[in-house]
Amino acid sequence: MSQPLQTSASGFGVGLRAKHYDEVIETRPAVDWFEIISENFMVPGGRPLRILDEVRKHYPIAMHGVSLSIGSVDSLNLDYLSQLKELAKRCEPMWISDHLCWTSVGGHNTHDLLPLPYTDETIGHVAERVSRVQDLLGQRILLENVSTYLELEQSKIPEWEFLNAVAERADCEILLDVNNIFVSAYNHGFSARDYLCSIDPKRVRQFHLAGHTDRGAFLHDTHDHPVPEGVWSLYAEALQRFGVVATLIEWDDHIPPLPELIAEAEHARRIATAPHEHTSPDAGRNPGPALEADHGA
Amino acid sequence: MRSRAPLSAVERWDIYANMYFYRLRDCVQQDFAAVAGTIGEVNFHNLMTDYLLAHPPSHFSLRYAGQHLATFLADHELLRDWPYLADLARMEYAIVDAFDAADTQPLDPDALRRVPSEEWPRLQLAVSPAVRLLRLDWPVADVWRAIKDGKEPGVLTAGETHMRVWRRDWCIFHKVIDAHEAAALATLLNGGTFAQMCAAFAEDGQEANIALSMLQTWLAEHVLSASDLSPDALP
Repeated sequence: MSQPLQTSASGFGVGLRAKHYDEVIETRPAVDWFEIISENFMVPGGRPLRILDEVRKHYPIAMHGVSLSIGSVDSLNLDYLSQLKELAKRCEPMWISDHLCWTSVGGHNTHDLLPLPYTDETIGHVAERVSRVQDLLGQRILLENVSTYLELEQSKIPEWEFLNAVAERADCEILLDVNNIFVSAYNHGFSARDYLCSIDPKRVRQFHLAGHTDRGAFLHDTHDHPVPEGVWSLYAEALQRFGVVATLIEWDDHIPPLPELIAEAEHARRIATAPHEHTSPDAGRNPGPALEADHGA
Repeated sequence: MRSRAPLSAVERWDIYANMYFYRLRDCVQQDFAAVAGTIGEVNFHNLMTDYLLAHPPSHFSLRYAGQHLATFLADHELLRDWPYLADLARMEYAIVDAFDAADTQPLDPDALRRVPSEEWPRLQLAVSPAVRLLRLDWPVADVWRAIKDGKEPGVLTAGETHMRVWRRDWCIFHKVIDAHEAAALATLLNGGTFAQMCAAFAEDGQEANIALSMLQTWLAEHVLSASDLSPDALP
């Protein structure tokens, strides 16, 4: 990719969900943008696309996919990419994102975001595929860190080094899911703060914030609760390091009434725009002072 | 996989296994609410276990996870208690298909009126991509309605049933239709002409009246799509 990385922040958004379609169109809520699940709109026609067209008249859209399966050893699904590109032409998104994981193998789609081994070989494999995807789409994509529940023995480096290396080698951008860092840190016993401190700020284009479910032995990334206090705290630390980056409230199940969802986005805005050192205009471009490592996290 | 207290590697893998099953079960249950409501939670859970083993998803969208369910039910043991279950699944998936079928403009009645009478036999009318024509062995619309209304389905009597599922103004409708309309629609869906459509339900010289009545209904219900009706476009 020859275009420079974009560094401007782009506000606070929520997911566009079927439950809220009519209300969004009728009330035009005070939110900066909406994120769609790309696959929900990769359909021949019908109401979803009509809703998308109408929402797009008034709001920017971010496309967030779940089936790119960028880490798979299956060939890239060119039919999928073609439809993804068509959707991008239709809604001219701010950006297109998906997950740093694998989803499909042997032609079967697990519809889950499965962890990769963090090795040099995987870095090369994923980076090559990302480059091809970016060439096909004609733009950089964002890769999101996923919540994980197991680690593979083949992994040689920590997840954050892996994410950085893939983004650097592929020259793509990062969607940093703060909740997923929180969840994975708990599930694998590493420091969420170490994770944050290690990610290259210049490649972070968007945050996700979400709720999860405490199962006792592990945290489950269910996206069906308000953002909990621990994730808000981690978000505040992320803002110190990365600056005010476009932030999405991600809520996919037991979705609340729209005003409650918007209120979560407003809470993120209040945290982000409160008077702190991180609001320096250079915060998004320079790493700034490193956070003190908290090895007890 | 690494074990890390308090969970073993197998327990960690189980988290993914459970997510796989329950995500797909919930998705399919949404699309087949009447099937699920008819057979109950335990039977539906077991059905999904069998179904996903036989038909693990292959499409990138969850929307297609249930695309084989009707076929899978066609010789399933559940038919012993619910012999109409496969037909009910077909009806429900036709509704799913109609929901996101390609958009077209409905055929304007004025466009049809402008076609000279001598051209009508050669006329090829386009059927909306959202239309689904079903030939069923059971009157499952009654079961679908009962479950939707939160009632127990009554006892069904087997009998050939034709059903049209379609979309108008972003809403999905279904209707039991007679054999004449089913034959007429089938002809059009196969690319037949108006003359062939009338021949499909020849009825003692009443074909024209029946056809006109059908057309009026189809136009009002947006069953037909706008297409080139000029003489040059006709076969």
